[in-house]
This record gives sequence, structure tokens and C-alpha cells, in this order.
Amino acid sequence: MAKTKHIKIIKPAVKAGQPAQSEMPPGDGCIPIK
Amino acid sequence: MDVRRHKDIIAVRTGTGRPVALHARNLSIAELSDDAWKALSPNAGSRLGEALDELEAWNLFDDPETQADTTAFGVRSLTLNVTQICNLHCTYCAAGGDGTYGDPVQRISIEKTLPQIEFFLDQLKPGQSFHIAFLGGEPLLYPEAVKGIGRYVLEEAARRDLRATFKVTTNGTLIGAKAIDALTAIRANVVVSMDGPADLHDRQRLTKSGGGSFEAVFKGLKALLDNRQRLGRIGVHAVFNEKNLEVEKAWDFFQTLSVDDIDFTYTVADSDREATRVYNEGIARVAEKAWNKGGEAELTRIGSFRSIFARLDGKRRLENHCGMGKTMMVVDSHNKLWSCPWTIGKRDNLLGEGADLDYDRLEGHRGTIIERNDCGDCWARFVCGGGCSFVHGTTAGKNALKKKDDYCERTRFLIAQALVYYHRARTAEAG
Repeated sequence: MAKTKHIKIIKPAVKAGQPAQSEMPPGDGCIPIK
Repeated sequence: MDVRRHKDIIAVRTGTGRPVALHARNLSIAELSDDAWKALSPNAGSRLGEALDELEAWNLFDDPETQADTTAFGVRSLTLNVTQICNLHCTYCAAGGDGTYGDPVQRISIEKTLPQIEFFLDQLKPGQSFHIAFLGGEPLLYPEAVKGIGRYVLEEAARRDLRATFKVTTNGTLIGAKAIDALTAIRANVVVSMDGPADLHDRQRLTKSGGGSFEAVFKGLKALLDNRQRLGRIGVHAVFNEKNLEVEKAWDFFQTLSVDDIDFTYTVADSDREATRVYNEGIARVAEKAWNKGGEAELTRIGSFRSIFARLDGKRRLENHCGMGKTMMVVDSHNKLWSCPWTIGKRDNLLGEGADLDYDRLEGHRGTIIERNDCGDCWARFVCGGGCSFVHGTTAGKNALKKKDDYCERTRFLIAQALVYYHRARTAEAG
């Protein structure tokens, strides 16, 4: 996106396109609580 | 915290801080000018047209660097109930109220389980990961199964060039020599269920005779920490609801422990709006305290903040809150397969038994959870991935959808909080 006057994009800490740093597949070991 | 929106742009401002915006599709974060913030107000005047034009241009922009975090079909994670009994009787237990799911099983059959796991390992390619989350019931009532099954997976993984990881979720009351032996044999990541200091913990995490369990849990956690060199990550996981909304007090206690991870969950049945407001305020105070104590490192000890930071850094749209029926299945103590730990025993969620899968039913899990939970244009959709299907009633399909608004409200509040700290962490404010 072109540079703008009112919106300053913040750079992420890792290069875009790299997998998110999820350490485990999501959903495992969810504790059933009612 | 004030929140404003223009289509797929959401902006958050706390106190005198800079307005921080999220582009919901691109997962980009930006700092806004005061005029852009004002332009997001419903009462914005026409002199703010330039700022609004820029916001609209940003809204229309599709960042080619942002990708969908597509979940490739194929089971890479099993949640395994090695027992369906428990020595505690927590008031909010949804596994039949006593860890049994209404069907107590003392011990899973290891002989039946190993070929079942082999079936799933056979589907994987060299270099891939395989994960087992030992759950229950209380898994450390049967540590021999944790060790035996875990060692089998490690040996098979080495032979097949796979990466195997393990997590054991325990109530922490049974961390004796046998448990330590089992956990260290597989270098397990361990999550101890703990609701805070004794007076909070003992409100709802009770023994079968109704006594408190804190003392035993604290002793167990200490034993785990004494063996941390031989274990993976060690975390605590706390549950909140109307009976315990003291998130700040819980965190004050947890932050004194040398655990790697702190996780907070809110119960499903409680949908009191005032309780949600109090809980959210607690989360906000915890975030500020954690940030003031240790910046990003301390804040991201809290799992929910860590995963949001990772999502924003990775710029991958999350379309599936969890891997239910795609990458993850649950094995109960009869070796039946289910979509989710909460749905064990619910026939319309049965995905198979042993190595026999119900492929017709699995087809029903092809779509994304964002679609399944009908998230529409919710600004948080690509960070939360549609939320928990059990909470929204859709584990067996979209037809039973019953959206839990308070769950979504807590989720959006948490993400909005995280945006503010993400901005601090990635700008000069971090220093």
C-alpha cells in the first residue's frame, strides 16, 4: 500500500508469509468445561 | 477503551495513547492520525474527507503478503483419553461432571490404541509433525499409558522421520515418581489446571469429598518445576465464571511461579453480561500489569496474547479456530473417535472407531469454521478463526448454530486489547 498521511503501517516482527508461530496444532487438549 | 470501525478497518484507542487500527482481512496494524480517528466517528465532519478517503483506500487494499492459514486435511493431532475417571470433582467439569463423560473407563487398552495411532502415522509424510494431547479424566491416574503410548510414538516418529510432541493436561494432584517418570520419558509439555491462589482455586476445583485441592496441586506443580530440565513447557490453566471473576488476583499469583505459560478460559454456560464486563476489565488490568512488569515477554506468557501476537506477525488469516475433524480428532477410552473433547458420547459427533473412519461425516468438516459459525463480516474473524464450535453449537454441523454473543464479546475485547500492546511492542514504545 502506498505511503499515506493518516495511516502508518506497523511492521510485523517476522517476515510476512512465514507460518504463524503456533507451537501446537489448535484444538488439542481443550478441557471440557460447562 | 474506545473502538471505532470503518468496514474492515477497526480502530482502538485507550486513554491518551495513539489510535491503533487493524485491517481485518490483511491482518495489518497501523497507527492512525488524530484526523483519521475522528473520521471514524459517526459524527465526523466533511473536513475530514481526506482521512476518510485514505481509510477507504486502505480498506479496499488486499495485501498480497497476507495469506489464508489453510488447514490441510489430515490428522496430525490426537487428543487421547487414557482414562475416563478423575480423582477430583470440579464444579464446572463438562465431562459428565466427574471426568467420566457419563461412561467411566478405568484404563484405555494400550493394545488397541497402538494400531490406531499407527494408522494415523501411516498417513503422514517424512518431516511432518504429530502431536498427542493426553487428556481424560485425569491422565495421570494411568501414567503407564502415557509413557507406553508416548514411547511408541517417539520410536515410530524416529523411524519415519516425523517430529512428535506431547502435552499432558493434568489436575496436578498426582505428580509422584511414576508420573514424573512418564512425563520425562516423553519430554511432555504439561498443563496444570489451577484457578489461582488457594481461596480462588478451592472454590470450584474440589475433591470428591468436597474439600479443596490447592495444596496437592501446588505441591505437584513444584515437583514438575523441580524436573523442568527434563520436561517441555510447563503451564497453568485457569477457568473463570460468575463464581470466580478474579482474573487479576489469579495472575498476581501465577506471575510469581516460574511457569512458561499462563492460560485463561471462561466457562461456556455462563452468559451473564455483567460477569463478562467484570472479566474483561480484569483481563485489561492483567495486560497492563504484565506489560509493565516485563513488556512483550511477560504479556505473551499469557497464551491468548501470545497466539494473537503470532497471528499478527505471521499475517496468516485463521479460518479454523481449531483443527476439529480436519487435523485433530479425539480418541476416547473405548478408542472411538470424536470431533471434539466436549462431544464425547454425542452420537452425531462420532467420527469413527479404531482405524475405521466415517468419511461421509468427515466431509462435513471440509468447510471453514468461520463459515460454520456464520461469522459474516465480524472484524475479529481472521484472528479468532470463528471461535469454538462447541460454544456455538456447531460441532456436528451448521444447522444447530446458536451464537453465544458473550463469548464473541470476550474474544473481541481480548483481541482489541492485544492490538494496543502489539502496537507498543512493534514501535518505539517498546523501548
